[in-house]
Amino acid sequence: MTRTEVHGPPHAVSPPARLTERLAALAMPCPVHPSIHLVEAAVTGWAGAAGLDPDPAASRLAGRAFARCETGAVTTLARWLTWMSCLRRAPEALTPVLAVAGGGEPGPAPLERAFSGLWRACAPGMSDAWRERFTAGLAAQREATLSREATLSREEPASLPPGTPADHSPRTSAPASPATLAPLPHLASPAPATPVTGDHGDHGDRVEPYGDTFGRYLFDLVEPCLGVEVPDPVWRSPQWRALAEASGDVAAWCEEAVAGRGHAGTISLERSNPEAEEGKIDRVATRVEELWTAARAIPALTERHDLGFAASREVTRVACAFLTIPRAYLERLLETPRYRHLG
Amino acid sequence: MSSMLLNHKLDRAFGHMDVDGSGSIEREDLLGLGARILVGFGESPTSPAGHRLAQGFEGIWRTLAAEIDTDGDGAISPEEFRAGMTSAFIEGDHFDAVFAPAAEAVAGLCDTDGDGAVGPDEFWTMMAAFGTPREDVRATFERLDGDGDGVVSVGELVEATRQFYTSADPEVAGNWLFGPL
Repeated sequence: MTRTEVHGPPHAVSPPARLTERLAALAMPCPVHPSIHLVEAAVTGWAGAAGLDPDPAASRLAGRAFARCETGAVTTLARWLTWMSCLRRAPEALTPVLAVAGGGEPGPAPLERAFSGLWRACAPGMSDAWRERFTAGLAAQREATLSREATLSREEPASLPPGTPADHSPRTSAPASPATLAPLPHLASPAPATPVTGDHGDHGDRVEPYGDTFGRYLFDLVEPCLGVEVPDPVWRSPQWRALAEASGDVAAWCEEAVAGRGHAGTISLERSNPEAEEGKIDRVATRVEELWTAARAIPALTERHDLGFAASREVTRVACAFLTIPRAYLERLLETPRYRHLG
Repeated sequence: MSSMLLNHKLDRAFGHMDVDGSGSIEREDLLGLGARILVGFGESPTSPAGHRLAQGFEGIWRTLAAEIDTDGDGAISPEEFRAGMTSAFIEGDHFDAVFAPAAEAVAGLCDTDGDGAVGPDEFWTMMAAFGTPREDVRATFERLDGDGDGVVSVGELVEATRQFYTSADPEVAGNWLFGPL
């Protein structure tokens, strides 16, 4: 048993309970920002004014990820997550959104106009490097979405039962290790194309079919929402990538464990297979160990880049958010109607 | 002399939190210090140990804010910090209830293998979070390692913390907690 593990073999019945019982990193509930109700109200009002469907779960995720941050930071993150929640149901909006990110005027569509406002609020305070990687992530997502749509149209069996989870992108589904880092997470974890149903009454259930993309988006947004920036050389370092990827993987693989979903691109429910379920939890445990190991490398990394104490503090704020996000994301999952009974 | 020593140490403590040199500390400054410690030890805030530390730092802030932030602006000046630390933790009785749990949480993180002892590497990780120059850390560790066995016990580290923040005795080892004064 390692430091990341609290107990020996878990005894809880449901996968999420086994995760929180076994893994120290997931053991304690995230505190929620004390002003979460104000944030929810503000973001719901903002969404309504922007023509977007409100998503209170997005606000709560922001309130957990940024539980001890200023209210403004939580609100900004909650707006982005609400926007992204809507985007996943209308990925075709990525093309005009990218045009807006490139300096174009937004069209009348709510997703474009809302993005324009968020972009104007965040991008000017960030470096060219951040803007480039954010827009590159959107562009990669658009390409992957197009590719996925083409694949699905060719291969998706008509007999797939309703509600069957979509598979994950290859990178996010394949086990990764710091030694074999795949491309940066936001560049390689596209949102699967999902039809817009038109019925958006229960947003909580929507988290499930989208794999880990919701979690991974957080990693691009932590910096502008906190009003800090990880210097590009640090951000591109193997140590930082190891941290970000491990955090994203833990969040994503927790979802797989909760869903009882296979990895490596398979589309299957394995809830009835205890060994497979335990294997998923083992995989999360291994990745949590790597997450904590990656975090421990950050102080030496900032020292090596001669950042100075104040800049190092900003970097560690982002790193600390990465350490928080997996549990915050797990709690969001367990609030959804699909998984609430497992919590 | 004793009050000069205490004030000097409190000024040092103020500097640990006012990392941007703005001349005041706010809640996020103190929580940022906690975040540096957590990241340094690779501990999630959502683990039991991380949760204890985060709660401990929250408690310190609440006490400071209640005692110190007399003008209610959410920012603590050096003068307010000195006055409030003195009234809350030195002359007052909040140390055991508020400050000690945070100190124990930090010391507990330093004890990475749970054997009750803190080695020089773990000590450096903690000192780095406070911004102590690397060259001072070795001397500090040797000072705190009174018997020269190469480790500092968790209990000694907590006691050194108490001495640093509350003792006016110029001879106590805890004065060296963050390097030479």
